[in-house]
Amino acid sequence: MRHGIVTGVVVLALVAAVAVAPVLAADWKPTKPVRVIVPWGAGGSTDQAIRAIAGDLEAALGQPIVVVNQPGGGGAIGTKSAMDAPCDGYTWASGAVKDLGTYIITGTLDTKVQDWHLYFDIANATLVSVNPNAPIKDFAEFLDLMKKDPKRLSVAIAGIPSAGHSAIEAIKRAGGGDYKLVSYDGGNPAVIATVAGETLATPQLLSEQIEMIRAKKLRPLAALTPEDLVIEGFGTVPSATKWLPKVSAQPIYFGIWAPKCVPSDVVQTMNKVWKERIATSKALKDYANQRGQIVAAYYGEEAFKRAWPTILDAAWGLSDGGKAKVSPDKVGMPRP
Amino acid sequence: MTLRPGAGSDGNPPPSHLPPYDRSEKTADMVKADFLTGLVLILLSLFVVFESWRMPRLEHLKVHPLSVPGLVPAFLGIVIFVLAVILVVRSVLAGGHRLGLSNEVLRRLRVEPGNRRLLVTAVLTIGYAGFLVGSIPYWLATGLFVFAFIVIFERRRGMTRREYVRLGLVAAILGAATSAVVTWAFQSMFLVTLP
Amino acid sequence: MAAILANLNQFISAIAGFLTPLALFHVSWSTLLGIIIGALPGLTATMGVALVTTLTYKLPPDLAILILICVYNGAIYGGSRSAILLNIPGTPANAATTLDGFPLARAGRAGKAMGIATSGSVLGSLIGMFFLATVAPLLGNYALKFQSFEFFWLAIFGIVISGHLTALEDPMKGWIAGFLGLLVAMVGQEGIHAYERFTYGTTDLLGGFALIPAMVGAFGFAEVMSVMRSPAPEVVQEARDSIIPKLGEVFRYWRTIIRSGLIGTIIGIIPGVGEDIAAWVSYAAARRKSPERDRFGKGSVEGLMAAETGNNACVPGAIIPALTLAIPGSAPAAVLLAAMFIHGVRPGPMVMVESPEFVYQVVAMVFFSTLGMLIYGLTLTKPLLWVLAVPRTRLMPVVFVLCAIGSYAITQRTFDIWVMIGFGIFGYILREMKYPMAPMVLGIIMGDILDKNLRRGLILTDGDLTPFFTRPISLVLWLVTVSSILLSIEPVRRGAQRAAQALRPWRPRAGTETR
Repeated sequence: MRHGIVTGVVVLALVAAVAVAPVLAADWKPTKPVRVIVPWGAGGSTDQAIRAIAGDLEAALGQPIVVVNQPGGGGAIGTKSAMDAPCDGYTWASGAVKDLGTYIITGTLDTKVQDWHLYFDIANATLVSVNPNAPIKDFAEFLDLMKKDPKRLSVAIAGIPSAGHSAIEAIKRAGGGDYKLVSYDGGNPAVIATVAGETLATPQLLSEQIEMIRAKKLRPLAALTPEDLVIEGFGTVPSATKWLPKVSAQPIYFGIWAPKCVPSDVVQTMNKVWKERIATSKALKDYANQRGQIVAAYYGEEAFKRAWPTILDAAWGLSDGGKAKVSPDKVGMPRP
Repeated sequence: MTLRPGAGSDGNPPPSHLPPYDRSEKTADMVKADFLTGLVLILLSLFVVFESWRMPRLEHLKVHPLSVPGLVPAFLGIVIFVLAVILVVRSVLAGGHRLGLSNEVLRRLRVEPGNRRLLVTAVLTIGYAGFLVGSIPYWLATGLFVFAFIVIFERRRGMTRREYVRLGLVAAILGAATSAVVTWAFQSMFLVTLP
Repeated sequence: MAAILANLNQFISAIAGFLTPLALFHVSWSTLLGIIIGALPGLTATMGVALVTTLTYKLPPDLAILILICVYNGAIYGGSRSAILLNIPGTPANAATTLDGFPLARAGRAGKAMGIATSGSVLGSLIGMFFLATVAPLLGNYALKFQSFEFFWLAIFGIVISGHLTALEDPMKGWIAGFLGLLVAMVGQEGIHAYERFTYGTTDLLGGFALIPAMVGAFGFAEVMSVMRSPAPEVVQEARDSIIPKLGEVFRYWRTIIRSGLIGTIIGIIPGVGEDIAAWVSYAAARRKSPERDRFGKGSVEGLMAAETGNNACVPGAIIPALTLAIPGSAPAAVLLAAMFIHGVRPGPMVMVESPEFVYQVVAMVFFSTLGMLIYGLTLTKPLLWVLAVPRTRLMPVVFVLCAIGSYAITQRTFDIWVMIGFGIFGYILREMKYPMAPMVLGIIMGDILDKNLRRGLILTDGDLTPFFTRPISLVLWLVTVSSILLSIEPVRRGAQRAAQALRPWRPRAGTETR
């Protein structure tokens, strides 16, 4: 069915999707397109992570998946509009789960991660890389510079909050010293600035750095992963725990979520779709391999358990950095 | 039709080698308008500069003092202030501060047919987009809006009954067609969840 | 020479690869869809590409990307239609097109205007394609020379030039409009410390005023009000002129075409600035060099040509860094890049090493989309002229319906409809007092760039301003900006002209071609 009916017309795509659907005879059968709100710009990390599973979701649910980009406010605007939409399973929010968990800390939205049904698809690691001409040979020298001459150590991140900000703050907490924070419009611009030599280093996501690392335009020093990180087409990047045994080395989970008020048949169907379709999706696996990411098709309790430590970490990172309006321990987030 | 045939007389700005103001009556109005806009802009820019000054300096985060949030708004406020002062001075030199607003002038503004059409347009459009859309189904709101717009603007005094029926029919068809096409295109083709 | 021949060879085989009925069918519907999306006010190329990406999940990668490029290129071109016929730019890229396109249409030469827009877009696209095919990797690396300092000056430069060009009688008003636009862009969460400026606690304003509703309001809704107020309907004239542009007339402007094509491509390569700015900069350059510069803004064929050549040349230009560095040159190119990743194509610095044939496939895709544009451009013009014959009482409600839904469609928030209404009223009042709208829209685009890059630059240099003035590209940008401001002040200009004459007494007066 790959080439025969590929006419690109919605109607036919729809027919094709319906033809596959009966394989998964589930309770919830959507009767109109399902909307996934990406609270970031088109083409960003979240956008890609969601579009990578949209085809599978379409096939499983028998309705088109419409990705709507609502950027702004660090993801708060899009998440809020998912909260305001009718709670019927036709509107989902998405993003990195540590952002969802920390809106309450930054005071932007009154919602906790416990208020949502979580469905993850991909996990993404962060790693510290430097411009190839930078006078820093390894991670030890990087940590050294943080302590000795932080003014010279310009670090490009995607803003606050962002995966890169959490990462460099985690390193700072474990290793001491300081750095010169430089915010860009997103992960990719931050990486580009480091490649161009405007900044010395970047701690952004692997998916944003991988092409530059493969092309030797960035030199990775250490990955914030429990074990060493193997990058296809490059080699191995040592884990930061080698130098900082106590550094929190959690991956960033991406996925979609809906408020807990959605009907239970929606939840059951989605659980089933996640278990039978997303976990085994070839499209997702190919995408993950190519972009240096890990398939992480977790949902429900399992998803929450994996996300919780990363949320605590991000929340206390914000709090220690003076960006919190609400103290994490006031809303049930103890210091890790 | 309430419309009169014939070409409009505006749209011919003075040649570019002339200074900003010439001596026509239209320009006299513009000079006054510039005076008022200038004053409004001065107030706006002062407000912006004041608000920028109030924005946090984030000293506790040890951020660079030149990266504070208020820097660029303050800069823009100052630029607009300077431009607005030039505008006001220029207009005062041309006599723009003598506004000469009397009840007579205001009355003339009120009954001028163009202004009345403008008011009706504003009421219809804002009523439709701001209030009707979202409170009743989109297709109904759109159909009603197009229908009402055409009927209100094309009806004249002394129209026969047949002419009224004809106008109503044309407006209804156009309203229905617009509503159907737009609803279909955005809902089915562009997959937009309509308000 | 041999290298060029090898390039040509690869290009031809890539073209041949797409000469299948299925591929041609996809080209035909996707280019048309792109043109329609572009022509509808409020639907942009970015949205079009993002939308169609959803429809291509199940297609093989080469066809999917072919479709997306056709939509992208078609949308940038399609926006010229509403710019010429309705004075509403269909996409932000066509704001400069309204300046000369609409006056031409009002003078009964809408057919000619659309013909010129078509030839400009096609030629611009071809010039961009040429650079995409020949010097892609070299140009791609050059994009990295643009850093915070340069972006800051680019923003200032854009506002000053556009303010000057759109209000030739009174540049002050153009600058005021531009700076008001920059100020509008300050609303919302700022990009360095995530502080909320001018939001006063409203979540809807966290992201600031979105560009599209603001633009649709300032151009579209304001136009509806101004048409309804004017004492007489717009003079409807038959387009007596031929739709098919005379070749001789097109090539009379070969210098403008090549210059605009080059400028468009280069702006495309610079990351983060796209078709809208490309159109402005080539328009400005054309005016500076033109012997008929007095006609600019009043229906100059050359001005229209420059704007439309510039924005379409930007499309292949923006694809260059996307392909060779995985850095998108514009917003639609960012979506295109994401779609490539999703389809398993791996653009980036390795693409020339790993799969050079893909680069030529993309060149062929641009070629096919250009071909589609040309065919539709020549055939679709006549039906569109009917728009001019519709009485305003029937056209305007439909235009307004499109303005409302177009503002809503992108993010699907009713708040954006209110933004459209607000900017419509605000824009209408400013327009009545002869403030141009285009610099304001450009200001909204540039505000964010200006804010972040100025402060980022200051963080990087620890408050030292010198690099802002001494880095080579910055130096050129600020010199041009300052001289443009100075030359618009009457006594300074006269002095400069006298000085120029004193230095070159044997040359004719300024204002005529002296080359």
